[in-house]
Amino acid sequence: MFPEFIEKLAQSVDGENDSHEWTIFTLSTCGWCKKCKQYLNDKNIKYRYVDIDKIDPSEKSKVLAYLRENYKPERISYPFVVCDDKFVVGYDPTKYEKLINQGGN
Amino acid sequence: MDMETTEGMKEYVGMVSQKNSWILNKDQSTFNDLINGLVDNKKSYGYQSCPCRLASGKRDLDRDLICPCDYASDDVKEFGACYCNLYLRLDFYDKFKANYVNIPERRPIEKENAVLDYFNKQL
Repeated sequence: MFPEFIEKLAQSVDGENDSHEWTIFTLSTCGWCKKCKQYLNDKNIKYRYVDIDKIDPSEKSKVLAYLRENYKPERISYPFVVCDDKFVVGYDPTKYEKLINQGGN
Repeated sequence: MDMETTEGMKEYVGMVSQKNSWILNKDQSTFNDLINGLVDNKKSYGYQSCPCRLASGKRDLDRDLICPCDYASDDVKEFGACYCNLYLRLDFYDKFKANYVNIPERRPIEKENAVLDYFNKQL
């Protein structure tokens, strides 16, 4: 789903709900990113995360360039949530719920 | 005041909010997460960069993100809260029914691009 360099950076969190592929790009310091992780944990959703502030600057550059080119968001804010081929920028449980229920945003 | 400790950082943000006639987020979980993020950034970078934005680690590029960030005043005035929702307008809890508000990024894209350029140079 992602290029190999992102696959290598992603940390996995187990969950029983694995009907969608969730990968979230987060900051370890960000309260809203923590809430996003907690939301997925509470829903028992299997997901992966990349704490972008914790990776090497060279990797940061590659990850951010990939997100910009692949999803073309107006801005990259955190958490940057990817569910299958959809994405949501920021902490927004209403939009996450739509991704869970409809598979789209 | 030792801003590399949670107590010192709480004292600092308390002073900032008082000086600006703001209030602090009353949700203890959110508040503590943000304080811990600020402390981590202070320890990592030497300055309390906004915990909700990606810092470059180079002070000149992050100067506008040092808490309170350059955008906090306008965001609190216009939206009722700063980007992180750490600082809130005095009437926040009377006016907004939700516990938080999503604040659009006010930081100019050029500054974000400068950070990306900086990371690129590390390749």
